[in-house]
Amino acid sequence: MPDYYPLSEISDRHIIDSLTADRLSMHLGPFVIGLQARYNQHSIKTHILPHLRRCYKTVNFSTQAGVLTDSQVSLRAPNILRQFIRPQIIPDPGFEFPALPLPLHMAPLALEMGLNLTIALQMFRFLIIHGGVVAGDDGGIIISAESGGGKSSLTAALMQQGYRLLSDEFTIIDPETCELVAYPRPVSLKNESIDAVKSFAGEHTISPVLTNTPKGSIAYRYARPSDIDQHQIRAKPKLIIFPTFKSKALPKAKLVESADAIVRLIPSSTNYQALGEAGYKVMMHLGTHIKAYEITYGSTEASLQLIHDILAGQIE
Amino acid sequence: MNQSLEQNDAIWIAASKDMLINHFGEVSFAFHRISGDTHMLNFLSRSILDRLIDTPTPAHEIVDKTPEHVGLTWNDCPLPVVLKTFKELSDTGLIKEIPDAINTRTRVRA
Amino acid sequence: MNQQYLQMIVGLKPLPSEPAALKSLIEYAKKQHVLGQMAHVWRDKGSGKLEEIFANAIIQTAADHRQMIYERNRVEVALQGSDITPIILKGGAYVNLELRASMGRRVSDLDILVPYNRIKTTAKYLEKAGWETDASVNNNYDKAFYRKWSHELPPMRHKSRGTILDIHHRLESHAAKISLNHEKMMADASMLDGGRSKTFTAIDLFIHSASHAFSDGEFATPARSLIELYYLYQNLNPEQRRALISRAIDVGGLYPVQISLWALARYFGLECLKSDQKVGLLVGFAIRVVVDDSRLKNLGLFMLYVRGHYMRMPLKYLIPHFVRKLFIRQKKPHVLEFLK
Repeated sequence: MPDYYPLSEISDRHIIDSLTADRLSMHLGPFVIGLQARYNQHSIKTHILPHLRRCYKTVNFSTQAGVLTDSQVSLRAPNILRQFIRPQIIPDPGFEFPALPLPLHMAPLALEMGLNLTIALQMFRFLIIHGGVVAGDDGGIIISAESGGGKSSLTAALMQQGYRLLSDEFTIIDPETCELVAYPRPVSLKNESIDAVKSFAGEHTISPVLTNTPKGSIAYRYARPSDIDQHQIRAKPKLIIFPTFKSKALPKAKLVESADAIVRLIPSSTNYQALGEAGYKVMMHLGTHIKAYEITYGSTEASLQLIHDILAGQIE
Repeated sequence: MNQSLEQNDAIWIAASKDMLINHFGEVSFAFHRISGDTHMLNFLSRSILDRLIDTPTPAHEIVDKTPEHVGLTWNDCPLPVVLKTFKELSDTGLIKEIPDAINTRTRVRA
Repeated sequence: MNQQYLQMIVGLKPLPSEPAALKSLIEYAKKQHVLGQMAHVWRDKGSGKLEEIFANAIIQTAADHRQMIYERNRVEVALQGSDITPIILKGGAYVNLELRASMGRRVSDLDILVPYNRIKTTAKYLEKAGWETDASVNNNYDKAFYRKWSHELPPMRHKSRGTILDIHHRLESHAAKISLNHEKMMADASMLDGGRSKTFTAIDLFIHSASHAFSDGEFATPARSLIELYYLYQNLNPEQRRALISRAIDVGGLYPVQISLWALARYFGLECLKSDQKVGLLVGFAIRVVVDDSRLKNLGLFMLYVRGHYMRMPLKYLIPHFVRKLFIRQKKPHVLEFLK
């Protein structure tokens, strides 16, 4: 077993050295991901290190050589020119993927994107579905939506209500047990959601905002130490929510038929086809045993009320 | 595939070992092990598949008895719809023609 | 170092116990696209993260195989009613024959071989069943190049499945200096179960793999090619091994087979090279530097690459092709779904 420590216990020097020497590995949930940065110390210290410190403070990292990893994400310039002139960054997940170069100061976005890419496309021991997961004492709520459908605001709001964050971007399911696996990385927020979440969670829970990204303004709501502490604790799914945020919409909740839920979940999986029979069985289990609801709402309060009503058995 | 399926004497079958099937009321899902594809079936395609599971049957017999099996008349369950559904099922590989099969009615563990 | 790696990957040597060395080996296997094959040998013999990495690789290759077997089935169904019995080549053959060479192997494109005078008909039947010419070679320039100089049609892609199918009518391109006698090999091909497609004999599979690895000159994943040859050689019984050289001479593949046997002897310690067989000094050197990953690797690759293209095309056509190709841009798919 490698030696690992919370990032807060590792010095800047060590982090930077191990990033450049391809020795830094993140140990979170079921995955060990190697991180590498092909930039000089100054660039790493300015653009990459702060994001790691803020968002992964209590997450375990190792700086040892020879740690086996599930995959590697290499942050580097798209070509030699862009290392120095109007520097850019791309996340290289180690396989052919069309890169969208970002300006170097958007390194946090590149890192998160690189991690998303590698989880979505290179992990086959679990069924991976787009969507977030939070859990209470009696089970997990799967919030199934593509990026930017109000899913992340809802996730953040449920965290505020005391739910544990399992993950924001992906629902990760163990095909043997159909349990939800935690991978508590920061919750990514866009545009209006940023202020909305700031207002109920507090400014200190949100990272600095990146403006003018290809998707507008982006910021991250940190995973809390309690979320990260419980990263090895799984949850049994108990509810599936398909949320739609529509400004000024009247709050509405509707039970979704099993077959419909399955038909919506399958295309939102990134590796369903690769898993074959194992993936199918998970979907059939979810459809058979877990209730699914569609909710439409125009505000955070409304969405929370709807979920409360659903859990209280008041929606049929 | 032969156009005049309703006269077609060819024997068809669905091998239960090749698939997993789950039912949710009016809708069923079938996982085809060979292709790795997941298919959604309605009551019509389900009716055709059910009758062919491990049971070699001539195509025309399946077609002929479909309305009766789903509890409808030919008016409500027109022949072109049945034929189209049969073809779609065949395209998935869930049901297949047994070449040169003898027309017997034995239930076979495929 | 790499010589050890190859033997470790196929299980001839134990895995390194030192963590950094083990990690290097895993990274090498990943880069060379042979992690799945390595996993197949070593799964259930490790624990912890290593076991998880192997399990992951095996699930991925199992999905590949399922797709490959189904693709063969779809091609057979598409060609029903024609008189064409395609020969399944390379990875597709190994998978459908369930050879050792297929275990844990990543496969994607299906390669088939049909007689030259049936190519148009084959394409027609396949188009009716939903294959179309792949967009990446769909511009006129590439199409013309493929038809004139290459040994295959432009790759076809299935409309709904997105899978790639390569239809060959020869085993090397028209301009290649080394050209296998595909007619002889096709004549001896044996039927796959189900009786609607064929594969080469075990000896011919080895010869084809050897010529694919060593006369094309691309050798981009040397470990993968050598491991493939290793398993294909293991697949030959003593009688077949004795017949290998004479068959290679017969079908025009002696040179690549000689190199293969030399490489198998050198990298896997196999006793298969007779003393009177020589390997061209320059080629042997080039291969050695590529596999051993030394600082001269780029020189080795360049020598093999130019040689490969030289063998494929007369030079006067080669240069304009290279120059023009650089300026044709490929459209990139949208990445914004992965950007929050």
